[in-house]
Amino acid sequence: MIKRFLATLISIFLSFGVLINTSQAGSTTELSVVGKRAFDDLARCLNSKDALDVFYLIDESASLRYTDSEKKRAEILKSSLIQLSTLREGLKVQYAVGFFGDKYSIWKNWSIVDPKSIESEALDLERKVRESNKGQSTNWQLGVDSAATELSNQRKKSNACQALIWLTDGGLDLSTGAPGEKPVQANPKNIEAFESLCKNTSNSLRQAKVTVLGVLLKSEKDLARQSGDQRENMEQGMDLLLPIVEGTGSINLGSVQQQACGQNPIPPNYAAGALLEAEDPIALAFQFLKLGSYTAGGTLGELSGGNPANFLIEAGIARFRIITTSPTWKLTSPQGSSISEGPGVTVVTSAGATQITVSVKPSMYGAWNFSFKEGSSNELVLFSGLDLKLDSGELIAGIARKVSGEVVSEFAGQPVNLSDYSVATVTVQEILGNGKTNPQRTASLAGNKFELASFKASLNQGQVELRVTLNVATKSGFALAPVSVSRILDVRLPDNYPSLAMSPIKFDTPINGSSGTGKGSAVFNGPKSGNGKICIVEKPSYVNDVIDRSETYEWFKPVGLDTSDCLLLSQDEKKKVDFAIKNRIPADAQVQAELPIIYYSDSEVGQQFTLNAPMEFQTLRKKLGENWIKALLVFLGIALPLALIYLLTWATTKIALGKNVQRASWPIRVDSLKGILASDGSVLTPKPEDYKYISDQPDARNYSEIIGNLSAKVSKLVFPPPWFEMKAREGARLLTMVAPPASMNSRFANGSIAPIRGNIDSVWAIEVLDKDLVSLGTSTAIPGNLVIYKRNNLANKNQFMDRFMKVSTTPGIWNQIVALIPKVQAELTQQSNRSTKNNSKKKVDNSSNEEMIEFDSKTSFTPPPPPGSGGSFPPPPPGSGGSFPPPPPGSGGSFPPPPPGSGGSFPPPPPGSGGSFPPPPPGGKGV
Amino acid sequence: MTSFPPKPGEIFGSGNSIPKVNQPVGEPKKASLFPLILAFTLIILSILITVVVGASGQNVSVYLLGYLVTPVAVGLCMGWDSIDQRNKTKSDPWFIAKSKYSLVLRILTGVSFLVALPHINAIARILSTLLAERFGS
Repeated sequence: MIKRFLATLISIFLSFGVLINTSQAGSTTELSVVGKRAFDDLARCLNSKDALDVFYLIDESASLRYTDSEKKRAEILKSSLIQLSTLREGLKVQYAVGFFGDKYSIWKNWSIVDPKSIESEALDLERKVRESNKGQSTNWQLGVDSAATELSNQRKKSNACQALIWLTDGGLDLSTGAPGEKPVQANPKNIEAFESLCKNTSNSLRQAKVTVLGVLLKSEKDLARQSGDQRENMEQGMDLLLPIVEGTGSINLGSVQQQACGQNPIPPNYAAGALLEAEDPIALAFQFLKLGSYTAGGTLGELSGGNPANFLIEAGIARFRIITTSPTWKLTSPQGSSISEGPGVTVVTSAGATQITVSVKPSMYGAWNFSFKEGSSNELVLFSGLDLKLDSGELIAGIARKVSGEVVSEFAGQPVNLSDYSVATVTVQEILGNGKTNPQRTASLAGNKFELASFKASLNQGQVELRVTLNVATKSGFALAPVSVSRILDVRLPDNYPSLAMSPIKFDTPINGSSGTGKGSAVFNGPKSGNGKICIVEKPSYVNDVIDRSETYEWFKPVGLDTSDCLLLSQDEKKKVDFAIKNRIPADAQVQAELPIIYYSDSEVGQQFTLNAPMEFQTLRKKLGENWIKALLVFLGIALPLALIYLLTWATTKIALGKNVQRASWPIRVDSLKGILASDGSVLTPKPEDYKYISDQPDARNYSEIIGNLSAKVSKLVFPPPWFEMKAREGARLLTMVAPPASMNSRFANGSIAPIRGNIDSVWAIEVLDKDLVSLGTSTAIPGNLVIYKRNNLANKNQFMDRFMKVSTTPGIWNQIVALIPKVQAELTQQSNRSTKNNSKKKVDNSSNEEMIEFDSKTSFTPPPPPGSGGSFPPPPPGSGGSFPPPPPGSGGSFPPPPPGSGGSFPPPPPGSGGSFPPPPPGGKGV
Repeated sequence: MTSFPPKPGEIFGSGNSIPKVNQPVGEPKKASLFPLILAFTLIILSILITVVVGASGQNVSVYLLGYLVTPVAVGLCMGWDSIDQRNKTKSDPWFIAKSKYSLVLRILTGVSFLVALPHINAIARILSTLLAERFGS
């Protein structure tokens, strides 16, 4: 089962789905010893856990335009992602994708690989990779540090095996100009970044058991195109990858030197990394294929030369795989039958490569042959199909225990016959907490069972890692890849010793910032028989941290211990010890440490065990008021544009005034049946000369006029639309017949303020006095003033009439006047009451019913000409551009009738009126 | 030019150089639909940014772009329409103002705030972390 999974895993890390013709592929480098170990470590982890996290860190620097002009990497990555979904059943695989160049960005957050949706996700990834070569320089530190953080955060949730696939083509280059324009060492930032990666990040990743698979596209062609400093930069930078990924390597920053990164040699309880170099994308895909097979527990088999190629399948081989670039092929069994896809045979084709996997039955043993198209590349991979299953058990310090288990088949229910092999041995090895190893010991095999009868865990170990490895070779002597599993076992003490109630010791309070103190506690159980004690005299050792700051931890004496740093424990007694720790160097990290605890038993005087109790605590960079800052920023993020829009609305909401504005005003009488009449009750006949120019004005938010103040208003609620209004003079009401927004009906209800349009040439208003309204009674007419504005349009000679007609034919004027009466009456009553109370005297001027409004003398209002003056057309203001000719002599200012269809159906002026302005009513003052 | 005094049958103000009475020259101009279309497009762009980048990215510049698109640029479209319509109203007697355009733009500006919330939140998240770390220890 595990083997099958591993075989599939091959395709992920190795095959990447693309099979290539080696005749086309460039040269590739073989895996180093450390590189091979990286795949062993990962395979072992996957044998022991049911979860895998894969983080793709993908270079998007500009140089990829040259090193992978066909963007093959996109296809390779897509294929690898698809194959993540074909891992063994029950394995939870999650993946995430980040891109880096001069910047880093996470493209895909941690997502579970779901076979149903992975195809479309893989296509998205392919598309994204194809687009991604827009970065400039190659900032490894940013990329790897960010990926390490993503993996660390994910590890807390998943506790899975983890792999970082780091695809890059370039050297380390933090230059801000053209990429790689200077040698690496010319920029101190490059050196600083490398040292940080080398000393901290890479070691932390290995310590956290993250398998780093660095994939370097090292194109000689691309290098050859560079010259001088640029080539030097690329070669230097590429060399730096090896020590970062594998822990040691030769670098050249001005002088050649051997560089070690982190702990060297890499401790056995760390995860090694592997650097894969490839000349071009095709070679890269080939590398991935081969390495994938190794990871899956496969062994490179022997294919004979010639076409067809022959190979031997013998007992002990459970499965074999042929990877070929041949578009057509034929696989023939020893019985001469042709094998094609079906039960027991899986054929996967991806990007022109084919992978044929055959499950072997005893009837299939013998010589096979494989026909292919000439020039194709073919590889045979053999799998034993064996797996190891360890019996459960525990280790007791100082006491020999049995380690046993069984050799099983990866295919559930399949029998295992170790007699099929010429060699079959099982070894057991102990890995200590400090990474050191004890010599391997060989277990005895009986049938499929193995047993190491007397295994004594090393003293002073809280936990040990047991690695059990099966080595087999076929009858013909062909050694198949070893199968290895590991298990972490807690080591407990005999019953006459105290024990730690819960392991690991987890701290409740994290170390928050440089001054924060982390706090935790541990409960110790007394011996099950007799008395004992524990002593804590040493400080913890820190085994996993994101940065090297072990020297700066400040460990306080545990609370609960006596003066000799010990705690006496009676039989079955429980006691608590409190711990506290600080560090002046802050970091966001989940730290793992080991605390040496010495255990004593009264029944074994002179005997003591020191076990390292695992301890976990969190450290945080102190973030000052992060939530408050965020809340403030969200508030500003909303408030600033709101304020901007308010200001914008305020600044752009103006009454459109400008040039050529004319105003006409008449004293009128509004009749309930006849509409708007002249003040004497006759028909009101407007004339062009009634309209007087008012001086040119820039657009304004406030504008004072003869019957009130016009103003532009903006709602403080920002989003309601702005509006325009006219405020009536004291003792008067205005009717404009402009429908206000529904929400503003109350504002305009009593007529002291009336809504208007924003363009002055659309404004007109009828003013009526309060005293006329309250005294209207049953009368059917009321005096008032009519003011109409227009913007003189020389092309429309009937404009004066059009404007008047528009007003006079507006329905509902009388109704609105009537509607005002009760409101005005109520207001006046209120005012009167207030006046009485305050002994104030604000009275409505009742001097004359006929008296009309006294306009402000400051306004440009011009009284109408006297009767018989001829109503000469006023000249346009200078610069208005209108050279309107005066009326012909003797015409008396009469305006020609409107042309047919002009819409002016206003009755002609009475004979002899000459268009003269009607006399103001008695007592009138200027309208 | 119009003769003065007008000849019999000639309407005052008519003539070659003056357009026919009540007849605009060509089609009357209407308020431009462009600010409205642009505002709508900007909102779609902002939504696309949110969909493509997601709400949990770390690249603040993308979110700043989204923030400039909505609500800032959409709000500017509203101001543009307001000024444009007012200016044309004054300068062109035949201009047909469209108050509905202004209303729709106002609504779109409101919508743009909703669309901008993921950008605002992301910017606040990224910057607050940076600032908190800088001022923290």
